[in-house]
Amino acid sequence: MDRYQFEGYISDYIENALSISRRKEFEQYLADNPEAKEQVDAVRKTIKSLNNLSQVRTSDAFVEKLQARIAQQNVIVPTEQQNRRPLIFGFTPLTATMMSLVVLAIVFVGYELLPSNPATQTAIPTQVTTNNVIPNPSTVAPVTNVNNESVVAETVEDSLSNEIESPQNKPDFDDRINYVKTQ
Amino acid sequence: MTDKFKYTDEELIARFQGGDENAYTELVNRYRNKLMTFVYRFVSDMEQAEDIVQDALVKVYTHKHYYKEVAKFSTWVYTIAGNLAKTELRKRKRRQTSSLSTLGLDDKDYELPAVELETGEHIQGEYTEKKIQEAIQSLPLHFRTVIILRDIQELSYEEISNIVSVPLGTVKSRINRARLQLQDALKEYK
Repeated sequence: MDRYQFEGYISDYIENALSISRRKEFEQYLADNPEAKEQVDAVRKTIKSLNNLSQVRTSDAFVEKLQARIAQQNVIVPTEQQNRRPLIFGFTPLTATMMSLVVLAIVFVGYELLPSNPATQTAIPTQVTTNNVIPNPSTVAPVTNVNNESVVAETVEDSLSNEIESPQNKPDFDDRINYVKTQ
Repeated sequence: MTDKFKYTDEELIARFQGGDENAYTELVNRYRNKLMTFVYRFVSDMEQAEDIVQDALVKVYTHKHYYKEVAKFSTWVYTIAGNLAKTELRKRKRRQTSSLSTLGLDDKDYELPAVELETGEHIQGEYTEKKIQEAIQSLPLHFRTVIILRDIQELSYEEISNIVSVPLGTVKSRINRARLQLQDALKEYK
């Protein structure tokens, strides 16, 4: 151990913070250098002198002056606490309100997009039947009347006319019922 | 155990944050002399020291919500007082109106009791106190702060490290070097 290392370990030695091996090394240095031992003793005395220094007390008027200053602070500058608003889940009231409105808007829009009655929803046929197949126009013979004229133009009118319930177009179920009864 | 020690410092500041003014009064009573000793040893002027301690305690009052319980209350309040004391010394240095060797000790409003040395005899009180105070003032600021906190206030190395925001190893090294410098300054007297 050299002089520089010795001085660096003085406080640790006095406070018993050296490892056993380091402490032995340090004490060996003290034994070899009497002036080093004197220095350690002097540092120890210095520490003790500082420990024994009296506590400095505040004046008797300290508390009154402090109260007056605090009162002055309260009047002139609003305290941090007075300015501070309580947090809602860690958010300021404004942010919390905005976030709540956004969530409500999302819920409302989502509700509006959903169908009100799932029963009225148009069912998509899972199986394609022959009735559902749209015929290929190229393979289908044009509809003709007895005079071999295209009747496409008339179909709309015909279909409309069928919807009008006239006495002539009404099926005569009475005859059929009589027919079943006689059989 | 009396009622005033019923609560820890951290519990008291929590109560004060909740609006209990009595908790603040209790903290003031616990810390005013400790802070006064720390700041006086630092700036060596009783009047200024008391003003700084008042400033620190007013700051505790107005900035109570800045305290978070991740640190000890003592660490927080010593940091505030230390920073204010350093600011005051910087101002004083700029003004250059006073000398460190004559500051404060002529103040007649305060009496400083004698220091009892290892020998057990009372040295001519003020002289000893004055000599030690002068020796402390001869230290650079970063040595002065740590030696006061360690050997006068008797805080732990960890607390000092938190107060001065310096690594533990650096604090230990500074304290050791400060002690050597102090011992050197007081050698002549002893």
